[in-house]
Amino acid sequence: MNTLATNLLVITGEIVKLDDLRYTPAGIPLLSFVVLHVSMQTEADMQRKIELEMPVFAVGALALEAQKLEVSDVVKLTGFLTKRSLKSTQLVMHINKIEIN
Amino acid sequence: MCNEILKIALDVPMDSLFDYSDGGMEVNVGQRVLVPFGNKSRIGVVVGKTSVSKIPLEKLKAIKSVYNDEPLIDEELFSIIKFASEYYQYPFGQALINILPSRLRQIKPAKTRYHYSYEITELGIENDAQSLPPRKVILKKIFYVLKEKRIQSESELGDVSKGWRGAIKTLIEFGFVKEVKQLPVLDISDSKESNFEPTLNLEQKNAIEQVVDNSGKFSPYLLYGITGSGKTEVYMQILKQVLSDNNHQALVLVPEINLTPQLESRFKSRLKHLPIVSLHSNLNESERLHNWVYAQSGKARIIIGTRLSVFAQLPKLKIIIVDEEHDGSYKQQEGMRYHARDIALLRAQQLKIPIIMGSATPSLETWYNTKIHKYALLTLCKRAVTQAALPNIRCLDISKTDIVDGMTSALTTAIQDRLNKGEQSMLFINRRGYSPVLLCRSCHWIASCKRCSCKLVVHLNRKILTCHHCGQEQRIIRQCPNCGDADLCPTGYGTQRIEDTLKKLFPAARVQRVDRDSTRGKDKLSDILSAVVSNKVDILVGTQMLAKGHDFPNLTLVGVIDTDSALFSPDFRASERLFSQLMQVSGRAGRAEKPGEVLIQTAFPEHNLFNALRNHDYANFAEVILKEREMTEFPPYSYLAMIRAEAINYDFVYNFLKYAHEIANLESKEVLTYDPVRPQIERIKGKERGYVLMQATQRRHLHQLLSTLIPKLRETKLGSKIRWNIDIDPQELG
Repeated sequence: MNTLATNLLVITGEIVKLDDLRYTPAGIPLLSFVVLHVSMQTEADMQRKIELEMPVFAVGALALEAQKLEVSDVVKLTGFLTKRSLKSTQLVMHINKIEIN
Repeated sequence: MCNEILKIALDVPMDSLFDYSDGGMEVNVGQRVLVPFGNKSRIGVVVGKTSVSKIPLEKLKAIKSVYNDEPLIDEELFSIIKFASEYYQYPFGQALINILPSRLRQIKPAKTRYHYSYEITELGIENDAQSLPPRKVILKKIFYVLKEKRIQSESELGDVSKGWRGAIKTLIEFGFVKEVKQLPVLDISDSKESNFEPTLNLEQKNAIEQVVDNSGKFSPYLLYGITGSGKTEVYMQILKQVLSDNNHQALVLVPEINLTPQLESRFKSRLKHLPIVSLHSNLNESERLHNWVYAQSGKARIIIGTRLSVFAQLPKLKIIIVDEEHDGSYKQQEGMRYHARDIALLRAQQLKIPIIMGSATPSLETWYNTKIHKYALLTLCKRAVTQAALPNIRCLDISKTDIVDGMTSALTTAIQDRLNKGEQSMLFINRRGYSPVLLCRSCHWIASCKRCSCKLVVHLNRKILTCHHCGQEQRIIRQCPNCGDADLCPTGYGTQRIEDTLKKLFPAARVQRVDRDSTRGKDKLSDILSAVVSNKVDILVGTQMLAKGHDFPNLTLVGVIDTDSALFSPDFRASERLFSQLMQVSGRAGRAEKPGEVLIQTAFPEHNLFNALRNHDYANFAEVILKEREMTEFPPYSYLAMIRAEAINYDFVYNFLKYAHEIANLESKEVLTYDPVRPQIERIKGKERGYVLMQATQRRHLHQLLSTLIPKLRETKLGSKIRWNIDIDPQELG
């Protein structure tokens, strides 16, 4: 497996749903939330409107940081994409960085 | 008088007795002696005397010493052990030595020692912990306990702290505490008997009459009584009458150590005039010796004990009671694999006395024996408390309703209802820990034991993963070793998880978990149980520890979380066991005036097992299962024996079992010997396992084969790299 293969997602959005902090069996904090991303993007020289909801997972120290957020906060997130579970096709974002706008 | 040849039983894996000369000492049959064996000394028991020996007289070794002043082992016990050792294919000497209390297996005279208690002195009351040396935590702890309780026995102090002896020594030096020496005595109160005598119903009266009228001859009974029908009351009345003769003794077998103190206290309060002792493995060495000696001397009139007490020496034994005769714990699972109920039957037969086997869900073997009139059937089909109706049993179909955290909404509603009424509920789930599986959802990796072929169980409160087969523990891993995901998912339900769920759902309720983890430590379980009786608990959640014998008058709801796995078991006895377990659990509900309800969560509500359960119809269920057994020629329609083997390498196991299989097929046409197979859990503690099952329609054929097969197996070199054993009438396959 090429560990350097690129999987980088940077996205801004508004927090629309924030779950309670929970812990993995080994005691690592974990928080899931959802951001609503709305923007205008250019595609083949054409402007189009983008609107999507992105499920986000923050693990460890970032989970504690994210816990301080509130619904309607606007954040810029940096992280990577993965599947929700082995047989799921839904993508979720795991983050390495949160910036509050 | 001297130089007689003694036949001595030793704890060595050989079928023979050993010849020694008496060395000029006066020795009686039944005495313990110390003998040289190889370059060691061993404890032996003199079983007989002879004048001829295969060993030339000059080579015959003499015994080293004889333990006088100890009661002799009697002929009756010898003959029981002899039969058992032949039946279970186990060396006589090993069988005999190992049924003795450990004190009698040690190389020193067995004396019941004094008991000490420690009492606080005037000086101790006046002073406080300030006057003791600083930074001694145990010392202070012990001191405070004694200040509060005034006097404490050794075992009570042992419960406070393991280091109590040092602390007591210091306290005595300070003059704060004094030692009180007591000779162990049997506590018998002077009053004749308790005044309280519940009125018996007609069925109970009939049962008692029938047994008492036939005492003095071998008469086996099955006391088949539904839960709460007052079996214990019948036992007590029978004992009272049979033991009215001042010498007679009774043996009462109970399945679990946990049940012993309860039954013992009930017996003690009702049969106050009779000395009662208990025999089980939870007693310390000296208690056990003490109780054994009291039984052996005939002074103890009622002996209540677990399976091992079936070998207690009881010179005046006049009746045997086997409570919950179907219980699996009557079968010894190591050493000589005897079944205590069967040994009890044999003893009753030899002594020509009655034996009563009681159960709400008799084992099919016993039920079958009543059908062919080998045992007399005594039925109790009414609940003893007349207002107490049988609980209403319903199945909740989990294939059609949503389950949240292991519980259907119907079950949570029912619990809420009991909380509103101030009544108690009990949830039954036969799996301890938090969850039986730790799963990685990203790659479906599962945490499994390195030494056993099984999964590790999550114990979230202690943050560990543990193997319930080999006991190995490790900290819960931080991330999946396969893909690295940290969000590992505990999957499935155990008692701890249900406890968590209940605490979340009903934050005001007092939830108590009962399983092997929550009841570690002496008296922990009985403390919990008395808290339940005194209404300090609203919801109980626990394993099969909760199923048996407990009488909680205010408990009106029983919920069964998940038992379906037992329906898939390859063991032919699985459904019989599940039925009796569920019947017992159900029996906890509504034992007093309040009606009880039982809710069972299952994906197979139409299964005939649940139908029979709903109708409280053991007899019908037994008929169905007996038909199955008859068609498949399983017990009680046949007799089984099983050779189990294990080794680091399965090839060794297979070769040995294959050899056994070949000989068996060669030697006997009547016995069907199956090919070597692997049990469900193929490996435990790094040992690969296998077994060969033998089946015969007549016991005689099976034992004929075993008597030639076993010596050959003991001789073969194939056996050198493995451990193996033989299990006659195995209770569990695998």
